[in-house]
Amino acid sequence: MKNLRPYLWVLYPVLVFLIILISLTWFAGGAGEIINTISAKNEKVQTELNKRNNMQTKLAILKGLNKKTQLDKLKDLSLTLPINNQLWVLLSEMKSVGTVSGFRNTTVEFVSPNSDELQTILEKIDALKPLVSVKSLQLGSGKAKLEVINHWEALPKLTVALEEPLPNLTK
Amino acid sequence: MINLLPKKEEINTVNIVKHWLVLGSSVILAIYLVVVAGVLGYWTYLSFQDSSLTAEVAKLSTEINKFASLEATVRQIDLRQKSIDKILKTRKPVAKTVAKINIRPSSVSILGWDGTIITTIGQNSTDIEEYSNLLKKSFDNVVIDSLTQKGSSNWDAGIIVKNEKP
Repeated sequence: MKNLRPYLWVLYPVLVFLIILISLTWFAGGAGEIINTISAKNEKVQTELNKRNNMQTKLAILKGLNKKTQLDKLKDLSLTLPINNQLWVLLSEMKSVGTVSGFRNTTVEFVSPNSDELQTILEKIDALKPLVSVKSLQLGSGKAKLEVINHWEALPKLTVALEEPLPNLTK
Repeated sequence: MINLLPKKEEINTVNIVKHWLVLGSSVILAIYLVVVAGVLGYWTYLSFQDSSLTAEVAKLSTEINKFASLEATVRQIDLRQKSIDKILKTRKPVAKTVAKINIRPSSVSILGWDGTIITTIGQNSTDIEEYSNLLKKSFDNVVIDSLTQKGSSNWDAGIIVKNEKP
């Protein structure tokens, strides 16, 4: 034992090395694992931070909106693009732009317009609410036959994440 | 003051190695402990931030949920507006096309149009030609398909128009 005494100092660096090695591998599962865990946690915090910021902005915007104004806006847009197919509305629209001699689903016949009158009818159709598009037309023999589309769109079901930002409301 | 250096007479290779190993180990241990403390501190900070953010998000969720119907309305407005914009952007400008076809000499009348062929009647062939020249300003591939004299003063013509110029 007395012979070993001069070499006891070796224990110190060995001990330091062992402490570092054991604590890194046994306690935490390796330095790589520690870095991975910390970066994952950091990533999670950043995600939560973005989520929190988005939600704060969204809440502030929502608090500043008037529910009645928004509902009126939606109602107004639903007049331009209804939520269901309204063929009777299409018929009355067509009657309002010219003299209708025939109507079958989406095909409308107007009585004897010349090309100038047809232009007026088409301009009126462009200005209609609900929106109507002319798919094709035939002019001749004292009538104009138009294939029209009455646009409509059902209200879609929305599933939105709470943190998802609101659409641009500047329009 | 404690002198950690070996005495002059004890300076030899073994002692120098011993000295540097012990000193180096101490430095490494100190750095390691600082790093461990730093990592633990950073981990504690992240954990604290994580839990406080989670609580804040939960609180905000409750607040936002109170405005759920308003949010749904806003989103429906956005979707409907986008659909309307898309329809307005993509629907055929038929009225404009007819307006272009209607630019004609006063003596020329349009009897029919099927989207491709314009059936016209004019008082003379020159008017028909003038009309076809006017059409060429708005359409590509303007071709007089047929030209028939009817009686002494009327000319029937079929003019093919394709590819409206933008």
